[in-house]
Amino acid sequence: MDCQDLENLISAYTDGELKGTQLDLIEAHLVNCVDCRTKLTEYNNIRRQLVSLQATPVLPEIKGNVLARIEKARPSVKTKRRIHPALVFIPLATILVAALIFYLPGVFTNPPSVISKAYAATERLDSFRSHNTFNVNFPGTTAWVNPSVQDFEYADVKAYHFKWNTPEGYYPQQELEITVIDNKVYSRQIPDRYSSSRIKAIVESLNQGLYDNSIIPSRNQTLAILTSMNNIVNMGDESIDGAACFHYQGIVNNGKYFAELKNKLSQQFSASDPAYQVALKVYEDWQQTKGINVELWIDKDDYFVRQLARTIYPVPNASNTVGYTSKTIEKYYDFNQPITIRAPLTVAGDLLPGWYVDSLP
Amino acid sequence: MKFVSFEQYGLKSHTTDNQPEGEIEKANIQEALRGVPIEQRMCLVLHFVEGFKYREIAETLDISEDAVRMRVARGKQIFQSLYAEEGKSWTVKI
Repeated sequence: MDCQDLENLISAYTDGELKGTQLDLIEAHLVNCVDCRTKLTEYNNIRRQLVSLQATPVLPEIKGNVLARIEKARPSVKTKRRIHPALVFIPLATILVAALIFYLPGVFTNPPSVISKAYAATERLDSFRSHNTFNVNFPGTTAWVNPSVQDFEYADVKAYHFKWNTPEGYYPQQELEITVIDNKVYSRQIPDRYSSSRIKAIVESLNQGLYDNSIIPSRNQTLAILTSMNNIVNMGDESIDGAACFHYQGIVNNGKYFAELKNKLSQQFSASDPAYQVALKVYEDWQQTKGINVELWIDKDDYFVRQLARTIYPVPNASNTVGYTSKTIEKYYDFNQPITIRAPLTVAGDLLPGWYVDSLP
Repeated sequence: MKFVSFEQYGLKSHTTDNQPEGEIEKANIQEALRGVPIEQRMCLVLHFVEGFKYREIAETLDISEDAVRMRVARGKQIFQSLYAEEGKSWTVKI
């Protein structure tokens, strides 16, 4: 099958209309095909342009013709209006993009004193919750679009809960929820998109990340961020959710670290693993970026990191993985509070509707 | 009043004296969409503007999902080429 045969599928992929083997086929192909990634970017741009018409008052002439034809053929048809641009379900690549930000080995050994204290405070960090909002900005536009929200509850290395979803009111509503308790992986997704093996691959990467490159900001990840920032600027004090915080801005210098990450990745996955190929491509794209703008808000009392904002700029001629500017704001709270992670089971021990369970080795 | 192509004067601006940039872009998008053949345009409008899923378009038009996928992809290609043409003929009132 050549690239021309895949055009319809790539188009459908950008519309979030692929699943199962077709989805796997396209994602695997995109990893290795520059031409198709270019095509993907084009389709994403077209999508953005057409979706922008949802809010225009001038469209009825065009729309009216279309709807009149449909209603002539099928009088019972009712049109429906969705609220906002459709989202393409978060690809594994995006999760891994988020993941790798938390693993950026140190570049300097003499951080400012507040950073040092924040570094030390991670010794006292056990359980916590976090809330993450993610938006992207496409080249040539000013709006931040395609929002998604992630929530984490982290009780322990072996007990955490992760939920990703599009905010209420946005179309289409999509969710991915994972609860990990010991070696049990409970998952729920709307719509069904990831296979059981893919879900386990995501969890494996999260679990490995608990020690090095997870999106879960364990002590190691916090340390990595703190020690990876260059050109730190004190932005003055600022309040985050009522807590007085130091506010710093810096740049994470990522050049050689992605080379290290690629090396590490190759030790963790087999070369034929699709998750490995996706992550490898992401690392290679990111290796080309100049740096990641990071802002930190560190509590003036306990020196815990209360908020982290990251802005990642697109790579020239990049693939879809980093072909747009992305902005993530992550809030951390409920430090060292009792957090109970519950399995999605009924009193009788049956899985709640919509949930699946797998076991890790 | 006459209309002069921006290109004729080597101008890069996408705005006229009283029309914001976003409106001009939307006008160009609509103009390009208007030129897409009705079968493909129906699928584009239903999916992107009305929020139908491919499956729902297939049910509405009584065609297969594969046909919807093909029409959407083809419609996008035609739209893209027409939009590029629109971009070349942006006009401004002087």
